[in-house]
Amino acid sequence: MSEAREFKHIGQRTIRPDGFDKVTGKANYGADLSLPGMIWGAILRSPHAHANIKKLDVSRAEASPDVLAIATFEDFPSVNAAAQRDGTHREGMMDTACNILANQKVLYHGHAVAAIAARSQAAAIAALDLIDVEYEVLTPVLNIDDAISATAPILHETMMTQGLAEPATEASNVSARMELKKGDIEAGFAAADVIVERAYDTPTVHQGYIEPHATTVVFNDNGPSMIWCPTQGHFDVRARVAQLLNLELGQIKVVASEIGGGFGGKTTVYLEPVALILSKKSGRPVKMEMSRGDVFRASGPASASQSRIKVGAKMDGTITAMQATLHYEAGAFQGSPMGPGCMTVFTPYDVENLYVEGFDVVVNKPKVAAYRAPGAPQSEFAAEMAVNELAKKIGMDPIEFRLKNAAKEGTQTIYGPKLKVVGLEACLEAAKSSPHYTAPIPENVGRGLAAGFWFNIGGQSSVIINLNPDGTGTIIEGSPDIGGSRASMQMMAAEILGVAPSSLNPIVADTEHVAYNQTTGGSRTTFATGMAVVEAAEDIVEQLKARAAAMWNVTAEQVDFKDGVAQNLSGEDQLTLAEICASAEKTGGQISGRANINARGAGPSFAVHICDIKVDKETGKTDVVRYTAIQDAGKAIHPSYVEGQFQGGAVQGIGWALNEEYVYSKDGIMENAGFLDYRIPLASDLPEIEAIIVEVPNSFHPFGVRGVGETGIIPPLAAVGTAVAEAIGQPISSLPCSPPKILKLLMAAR
Amino acid sequence: MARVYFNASLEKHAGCVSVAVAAQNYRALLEELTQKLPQLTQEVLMPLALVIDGEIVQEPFLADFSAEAELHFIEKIAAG
Repeated sequence: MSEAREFKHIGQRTIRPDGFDKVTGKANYGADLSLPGMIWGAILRSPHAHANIKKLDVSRAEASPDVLAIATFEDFPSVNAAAQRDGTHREGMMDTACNILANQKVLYHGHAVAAIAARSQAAAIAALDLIDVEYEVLTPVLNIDDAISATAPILHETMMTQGLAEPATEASNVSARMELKKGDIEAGFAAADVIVERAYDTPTVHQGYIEPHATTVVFNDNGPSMIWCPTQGHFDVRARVAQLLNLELGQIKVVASEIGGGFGGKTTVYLEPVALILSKKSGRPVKMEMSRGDVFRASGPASASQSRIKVGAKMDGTITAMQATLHYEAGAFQGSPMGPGCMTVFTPYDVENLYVEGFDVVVNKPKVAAYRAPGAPQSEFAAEMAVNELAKKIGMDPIEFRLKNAAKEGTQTIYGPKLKVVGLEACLEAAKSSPHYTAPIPENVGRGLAAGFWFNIGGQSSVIINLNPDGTGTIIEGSPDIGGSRASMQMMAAEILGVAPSSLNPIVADTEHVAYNQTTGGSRTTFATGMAVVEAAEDIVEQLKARAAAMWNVTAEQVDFKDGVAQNLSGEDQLTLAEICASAEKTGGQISGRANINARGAGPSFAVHICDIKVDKETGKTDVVRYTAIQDAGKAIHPSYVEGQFQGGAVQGIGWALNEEYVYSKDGIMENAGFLDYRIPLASDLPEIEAIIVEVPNSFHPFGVRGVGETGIIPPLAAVGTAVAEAIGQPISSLPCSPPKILKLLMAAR
Repeated sequence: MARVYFNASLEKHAGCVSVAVAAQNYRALLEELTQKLPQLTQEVLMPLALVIDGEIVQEPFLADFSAEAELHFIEKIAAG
């Protein structure tokens, strides 16, 4: 799809199919399902950040008439002591299981230790006091410096660093090292006229989804057990629960409820397997919910990071070398997004000499989960801050500096492949001519600009489209809708079928009613599931042509189909889609199209953001006074949703840069586990985020889609950081730029 | 022949920066690489995505490519 095309529905701003139910309260979210006979589960959580469990005694709870079931780590048949003894344990599930219910050791404040089910939520919570736990408290490891020091307490005695030049011989809190390189880094710096080298850090932050985790389950011995939950990937919930509980996939049905935000944080399981254990033991449906405090303490936030960046350039603005050392906190178990952080850090730049080294570090904090473009905001924050400082030192405009070094078609990335057609230069040009950038910088305001890159991905998607006798239809997909994808599916199918989008009802089916779909994430759904929708709709078009041919007693090759109407090329006969559907009983039964694909050809996405910030130099308070997000969407199927993704990413990135952070006591107790103390931006805090959609089509997608969910959160960290630095006249190296930190910088400068 | 390029982390296993291969599909590629470069085991390669001429293929089991293809193995991209 490289040529310009005229579309009837693509690019319009249709009414969202899920909107009415959401604004009227009819939509059913994770906590909205209740079942006859249902009981409640509750979790006992660790008061310590790091401790051995010397004794876990549930006998008093078992004896209580209120308690109907209890679950501990030993109830995971895939990994428990019995499985270890008989050699049937699934080693790959050990970390997941230990995170869901601790095994002999707690590794963060709020780590789940045991669960109880009782007749009411209050009774379940009260009964937690009947569980006796004896802890041996250990020194917590709360940051990267402590974790990698020679005297650090070791979290996992068997964890050896992978990826070292020589195999590790001692246990370490560093689980993995990654190295990427291109060219000759030493020669690159030797050729530079100016070099900037700085260290940066970012805090642990949470995705801040409004809906806490919740689930309602029913265990069924004689058929599929049911799990209802808000998730970005109900097929993966099914897989993980099946693996943990030694069940077959066919023994579990997962229904994805409406979801009140996920942003990567709802791509794993916490409550679901525990609830199913409790349901099996009690013989009753079980409901469980996390409190807001639980969500902060014990779901999956984004990694804190430390980065050291070195960038060199000639005085004409040519970057000669870029180097990064990146450390990512994984939380209590290995597996931070260090890899994508290393791969993305310098991808906006076409530079000959690059070197990146990354480390995955465990600490006594909750195991991290994905958060929009996982790993990229942290590393690209550091790189973009250094690039802005370098541009300033050379005396070049930051856009011109980036245009001179911008990644483009043919640029060899540090992770290997050459880029195909990408839209970074188009985004930079759009930024340069934007009303925001061309406006003068107001007095007492700092302006910052930054770029961002994310790969975008494809993967498996399955879709069924059923047409009804009146020509209306249902699009059955399996990608949970976290950002408006149902509207996009509706529009893409309508474009192919030549009908009104509103005549097609898009639904997200459970795991029994549509084939496997990969988790919604990585900006894959509008791209990959959209491709499946197009393929299923094209399948229907072929059937419509065959049915019309049967009506006219001609061959299908003698039938054309355009704008919802079949045309007999041998005459003047026409049949609308609805008329063909009305006659479907006579021509072979109702019409249904399907597609099961593993989509390839995802198009990478670049963004450029501009931020103006005013700082109150008496209090350190910051105010974003103007903000513009520019991004290459490939093709915006529904521009309002695309703008919403840009704006949402920008707001979350602004929060990350300005105020959000996990605050721990020296003992590892999280001290701000609520939205009063963990300050996400409110609508009243921010100006309208101006969104500029750039469209450089992805030739692998029928409509040119790239995916837009991830990239928008990457540039804000450095755009904001640079704006604050400009406003106060001091370099920024540590996020968030919260008032106490700003004041400290201002005081130091006085 | 197609050419496989190794990033710094894989270079440690491969012992070289790149290698030419006669293979024109993923399965043949794994077989050829593990024969030519014994340290580059299937356990190292199979969890990775394959990049074919700049296109990331997350699940390359059935992927094929031309005799002129440029190939890279990269970490699979996580969801967000």
